[in-house]
Amino acid sequence: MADSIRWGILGAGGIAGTVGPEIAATEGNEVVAVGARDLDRAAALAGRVGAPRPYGSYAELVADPDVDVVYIATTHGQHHDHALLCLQAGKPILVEKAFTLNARQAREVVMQARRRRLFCMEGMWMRLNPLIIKAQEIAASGRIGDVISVHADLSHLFPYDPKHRLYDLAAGGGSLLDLGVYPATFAWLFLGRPDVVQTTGALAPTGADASAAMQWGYADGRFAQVSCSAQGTNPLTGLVAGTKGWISIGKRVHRAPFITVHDDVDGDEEFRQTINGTGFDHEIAEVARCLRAGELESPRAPLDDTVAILEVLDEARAQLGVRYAADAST
Amino acid sequence: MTDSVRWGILGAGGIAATVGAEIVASDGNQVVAVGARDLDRATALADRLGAARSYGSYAELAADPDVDVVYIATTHGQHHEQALLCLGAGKPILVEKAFTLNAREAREVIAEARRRQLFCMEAMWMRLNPLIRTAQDVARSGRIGDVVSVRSDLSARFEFDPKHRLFDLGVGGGALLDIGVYSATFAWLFLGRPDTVQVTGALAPTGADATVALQWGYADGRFAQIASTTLGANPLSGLIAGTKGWISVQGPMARPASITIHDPDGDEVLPDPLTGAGYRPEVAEVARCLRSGELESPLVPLDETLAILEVFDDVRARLGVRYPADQE
Repeated sequence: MADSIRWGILGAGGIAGTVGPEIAATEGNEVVAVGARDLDRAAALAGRVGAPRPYGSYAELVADPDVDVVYIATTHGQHHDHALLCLQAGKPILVEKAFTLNARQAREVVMQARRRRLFCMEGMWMRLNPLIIKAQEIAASGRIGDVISVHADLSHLFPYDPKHRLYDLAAGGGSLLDLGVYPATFAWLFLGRPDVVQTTGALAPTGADASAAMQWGYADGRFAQVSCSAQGTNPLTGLVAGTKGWISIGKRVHRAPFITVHDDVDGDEEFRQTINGTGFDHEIAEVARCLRAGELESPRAPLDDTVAILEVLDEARAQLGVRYAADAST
Repeated sequence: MTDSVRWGILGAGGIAATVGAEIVASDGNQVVAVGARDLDRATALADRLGAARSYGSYAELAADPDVDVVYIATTHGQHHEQALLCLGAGKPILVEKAFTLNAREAREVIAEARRRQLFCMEAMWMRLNPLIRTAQDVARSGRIGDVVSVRSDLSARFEFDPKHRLFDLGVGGGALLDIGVYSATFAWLFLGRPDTVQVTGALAPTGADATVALQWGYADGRFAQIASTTLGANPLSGLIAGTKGWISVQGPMARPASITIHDPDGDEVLPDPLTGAGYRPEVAEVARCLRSGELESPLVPLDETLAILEVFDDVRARLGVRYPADQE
């Protein structure tokens, strides 16, 4: 590995255009190649992020010997195939969330990464947000007493369009995989795997979930209320409620600029951070750290959690009646 | 009825004193009698409220010919029996929430009130709160688009004590009936009766529900997430989310400090206009109904009081919370 981590970006869509410049702006990292089905789009993004090599196919990208790690930035319906393609070519991968469409696909990717001893991580950047890590530390410290419940929401208005990725079942559409994966992961960080999952919501005419509400129950009485919607926005974020206080996440749960910790003894304390760029730098730095240290998995974003959360989302989708073509494969 | 509505208060505990003071502070209303099992407590409250008569039994209070309406302010386990006592004596009633322990008891009280043509109302004062009524008007107006979802939470910390009313099954203990009735009624105001009800929670060692979390689903895709716990407080309150905006409640939902209406033009914050403890709109509504001869408040329909208790019966059954009264 060269001094700098040399990234290849697979895909040239919206998220590739957002995270790509963040990689280029993060010290010790550079984008050296972009691969897309359309060479012009690959070349356009490569030009923007200072990458010398654009490719008009994914196969060429993964065959590039001077790429240390591939960031898979396509829509989630394609992640499974693209992840396996990279792993088979011997490339470590950072896979944009949702990691795959379902747990079966995730298990296959994780197994392949482990078998080949290649680094693999879900691009769940919220887990690397220093304030989310701070909130986890505070909850674990007992400062807010015992955790009673977690409430989390991520909603954003996507006007209905059957061809938009959010509503297109063939592309893995639906609010749960696109938005809900954040509040679900948030609840998981503080409560772990639920004992019961209860789901309700609204389906769009395409059959994709336009809104989804999940209530998680735990044998010891804790609970989470998690929701997401593409039908409208709202001011909810994340809240961890305890017997002696609470932690609330400022603004959107996935890119918190501040958190407020309330404890019954000391009142409110606010922790703020300046977000660099769009906030993906911590995730990029963690991938680079793992690659340099030879760690095959980030302890902040364990693959077992990625698979387990997809198992919960599989169950939630089954309860909602949202089914992808990939769910039928065995 | 004389010019002033003459109230009798049945019970002399905390809520009797709080609401009693609000009745006295309301124009056109006075407390003329207090009845309690303990005459000394009845007299002490009567003195505080300027009530001329105190009684050491509920039967004497209900028999007082100069009482126009009885406010039943005991714990909810006693409401059914006392409501029937008052109705039997020909008295209109305002019944502290929770109205009764279960839907069966509520049906009996409501049937009796209707049979005898007597006014009857659940003391769900949140429904009369001007900010809550504004929120309903705004939601109906389409200003926040179509309603997508409702969140509501009312939680507080009650240290576990098996003898406290909140934890004592013998007196109708449990978070659902005590505080959950607010968060559930809040969701109901904006969404109505749910098509599906999902439940989780935690029981205290006495078997009463210490935590209850509800998720309501509607055939058209709307949903509500509702919670109440006795284990700890939190800053959540009420939120109505729509396709074009939202309405959020700041402070306790029964008496908000303010509501915020967010629509495409931005935020509008409406502050609490009330003075006192917040019960005066409820007192005024009872007086208005009595004066106009209405047997039921259109803002607090008895059918909804009953329907919410039907949902609660199902919730408690699934949590495994059972009152002795459920067996009758």
